[in-house]
Amino acid sequence: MKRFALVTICMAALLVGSLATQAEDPVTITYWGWEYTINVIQANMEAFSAAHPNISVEFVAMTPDDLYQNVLLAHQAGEGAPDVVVLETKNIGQYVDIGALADVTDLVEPYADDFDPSKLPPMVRDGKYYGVPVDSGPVLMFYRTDLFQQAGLPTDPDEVANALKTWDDYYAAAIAIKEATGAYMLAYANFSYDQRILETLLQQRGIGYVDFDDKITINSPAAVSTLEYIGKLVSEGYAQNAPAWFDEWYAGIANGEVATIVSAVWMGGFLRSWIAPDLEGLWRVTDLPAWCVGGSRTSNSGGSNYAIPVQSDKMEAAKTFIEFMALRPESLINKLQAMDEFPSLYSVYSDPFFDTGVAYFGGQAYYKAFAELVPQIPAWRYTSHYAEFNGQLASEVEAYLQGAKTAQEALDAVATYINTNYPEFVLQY
Amino acid sequence: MGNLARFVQRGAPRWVTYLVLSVICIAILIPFVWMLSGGLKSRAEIFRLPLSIVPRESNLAENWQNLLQKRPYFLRNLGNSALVAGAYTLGVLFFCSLIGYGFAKHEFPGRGLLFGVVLATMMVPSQATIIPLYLIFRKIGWMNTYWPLIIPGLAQAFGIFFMRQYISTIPTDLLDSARIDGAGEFRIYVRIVLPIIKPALATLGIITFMTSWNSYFWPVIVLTQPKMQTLQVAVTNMAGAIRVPFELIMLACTISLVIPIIIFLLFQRYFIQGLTVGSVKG
Amino acid sequence: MKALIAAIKRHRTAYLFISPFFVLFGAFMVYPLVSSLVLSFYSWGGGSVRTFVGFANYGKLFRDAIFLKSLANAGVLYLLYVPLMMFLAIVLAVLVNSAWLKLRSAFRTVIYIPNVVSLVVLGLLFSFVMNRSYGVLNMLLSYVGIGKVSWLGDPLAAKFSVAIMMIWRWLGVNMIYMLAGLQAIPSELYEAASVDGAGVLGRFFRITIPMLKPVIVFALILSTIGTIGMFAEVQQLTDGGPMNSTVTPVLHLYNTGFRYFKFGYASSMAYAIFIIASALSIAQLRIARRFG
Repeated sequence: MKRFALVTICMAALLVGSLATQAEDPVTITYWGWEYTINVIQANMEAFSAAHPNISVEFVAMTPDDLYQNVLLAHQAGEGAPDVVVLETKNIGQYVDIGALADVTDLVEPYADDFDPSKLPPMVRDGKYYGVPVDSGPVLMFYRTDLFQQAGLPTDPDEVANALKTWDDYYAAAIAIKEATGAYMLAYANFSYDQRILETLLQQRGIGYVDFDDKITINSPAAVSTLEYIGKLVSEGYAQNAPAWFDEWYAGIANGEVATIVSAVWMGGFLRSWIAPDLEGLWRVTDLPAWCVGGSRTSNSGGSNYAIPVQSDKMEAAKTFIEFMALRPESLINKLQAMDEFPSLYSVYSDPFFDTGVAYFGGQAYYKAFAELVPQIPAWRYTSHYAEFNGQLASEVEAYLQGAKTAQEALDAVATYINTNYPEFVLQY
Repeated sequence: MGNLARFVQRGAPRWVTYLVLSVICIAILIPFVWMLSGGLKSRAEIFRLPLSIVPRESNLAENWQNLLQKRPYFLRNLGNSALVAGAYTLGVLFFCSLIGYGFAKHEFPGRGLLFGVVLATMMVPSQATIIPLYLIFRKIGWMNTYWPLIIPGLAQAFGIFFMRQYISTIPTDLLDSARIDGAGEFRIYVRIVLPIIKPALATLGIITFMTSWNSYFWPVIVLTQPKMQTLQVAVTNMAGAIRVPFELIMLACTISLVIPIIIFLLFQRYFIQGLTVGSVKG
Repeated sequence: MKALIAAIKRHRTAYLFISPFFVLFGAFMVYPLVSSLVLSFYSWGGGSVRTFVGFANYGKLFRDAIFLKSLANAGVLYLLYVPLMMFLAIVLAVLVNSAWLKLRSAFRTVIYIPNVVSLVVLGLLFSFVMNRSYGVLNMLLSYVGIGKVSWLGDPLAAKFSVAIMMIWRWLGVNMIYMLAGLQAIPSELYEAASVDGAGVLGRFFRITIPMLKPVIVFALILSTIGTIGMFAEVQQLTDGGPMNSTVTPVLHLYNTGFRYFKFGYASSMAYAIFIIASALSIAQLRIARRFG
């Protein structure tokens, strides 16, 4: 009898013990992303490990191209996908459409109104969310105070925003700066370029390849005039002919050959750390010139999102990880501090960190400048064919900038391509 | 006019030959020198004008450090490449010579047709078969292993073609007398054929080793764990990110060339000799 | 039937020897090839929906401006680099073959070494060499007074960049093929020709070239297949640009599948490329045979 009791007690103890540990079973999740995304996450890993000691993360770095390819392949094979993956806003639509991503509505819904409004549409299908926004790329104009001063322009951000109210003012400034300093106003290559700036400017005017009613807008009169504006800057010599993210472009910035950069918040981090650390104190940011009085003075460029492949069998852990890294204010502030990854979550903007002056920008409240304009970012429709449309646009705009076509012809060609291949999108112009 | 006639008759004086060869060689070496110097320069110097081929100061130590920081498994990747290339080469030499012997020295029904199939596979663009092959590799659990890089290509068409050409030049009497003596085919293959075709084996071995060493496409797909990756993957993973660290990539490229160049230099003799018989009969 | 079985039994060793190829072929090539062929008759975007479209994908190829351009590009590139490369290969082979030449091994090695570079490294290296402001090519050109050429930014110059890269990479191999061919030419032929009064150029054109014909055809066919199949090096160097001036058929194939997610269409493109490559190779063989 005694022995029986003893055995029972031991078994009960084992049972209880195993139940207890099961709640905290160690689990390892795999994360696929490119180096930058991993670096910003690392800023939070210590806190994460402390809060969730049972979850360990295996990071695999890949180039964005390889990443997109491998996620696709894993989905086709039905196995091998990671538990968490990061996808840019322009690509995520494709993956949602092929059913590669899991439903994360329970994570996103509570915050749905708190996100930068331009982020969610690509990830929504039938009211369900398949991705969690991480960062946004609100766009402002970076400018060199010393070059502006030499050209007789104001240097204080508010004054500059006032002086350069419209893109016509910007053009006039380009002339003045060229005369006074010899510098280009901006860099815009007529080759080897994915035309991000053009897309940014189009988005500023609310123009996409197609609109939310399936009408093709890429060749609308407003789009054509936008392209012609860029063409004017290029042909009259105010644009440095260096493709973005190549070395001449970096050198142009570092050597003071360009006076402004139309870019997103993450550019600040790059400028500070490795593109032009020596130019500390000479850059400021201010609103983009508008296309018409009262128009939006910002746009968006880039932005990434976390998602969980449907194949993952560690959903709980993956969701915990994503929640920690994308929805927890402290984490977002850490990432911002580390490498200027700008959160898409509004509630974070009230953090005092946003008011800090950044030395590189002469003490300007850099992050605040961006945060203030985020609500103005116009929505933009990526569709799941963005890569293809962008390829066509890049090629046609190259032809225009190199003098082989008119702007109207170039954009008409893109519109025709879209309509021919995807008749659900209707020609309007 | 007399000089021209003499030229047509006797050919150019010897120094012209040396000049032409030297100019070509220098032109060919320039990219290599540029690569080497890129690996030695610091990033800032790569973009400092005026450009110079010889770096003003060597940044080698720092570049090497940065490379290892970005790619902590770099040396291991080097070893992985050597392992895969070596195993693959040995496999190819065995199978292709055996199959080539089968086609070259045996008459059997359907030989022409079957050999035609072998040749036809050389023309298929590999991109066509990516997804199905990937599915196969997944199903049999070959992800993050080296099997996909070794097994499917063991009986590759080029190797078989090459071996067949070479083996067909072996005098058949040699083989027949062995057969009369009662030796089995496999014994003949090992004892007679293999020793004779050593030069061709060396040639094919070098070509195969290089191909495997240089391969990139499947390794990128199949090897996602940094520890398992081969050298080419490690080198190119650094590009394509927004910031292309030229100096690190050039350094990594330079290092990646050392082993192939050594192998070529060592076996050059067999290599040239081997090709002599192979392509002429083609 | 009985005779067939008997024949197989008689030659069983031979069949056994060649079987590894067919086993591997069956395991790793048949299923992908068949599956790819079947897929080419469907429209599939990577998700769960597959629509049967019959031959529509193949028809689409004729209207695909970029595909047609890629074929044209392949043709232009071929003409740009292959004839020059073959000519250089033959001349260099003859020079290196000179009986009195010293340092023969050194020359041979240097000319061959570029072949040792992997295709991705090749593209990366040349993007660095041809960089407009920071590359060594423009640096050297400036020494002889030629201004900066936008090697990778101008559509025409970009084609030349690819051509230069290909010559650099493949000259050595082709020279080796030619050397092999030269060594098979009996020297009596040359002696007899000199006795008849033929000079160096005469011997070159009337003996060397004709005797090298089989090797030249072999090398040309490999170059044809290689040009159509250019992928990794072009992707690294120009990614098909500018303005699609350097898109090759296989690069477009990859983009169609892996960037645009049009898998059915991509499969039809793959088969089209296969047919074109085979047709060109057979045509070259036929032409070579006709000119005896």
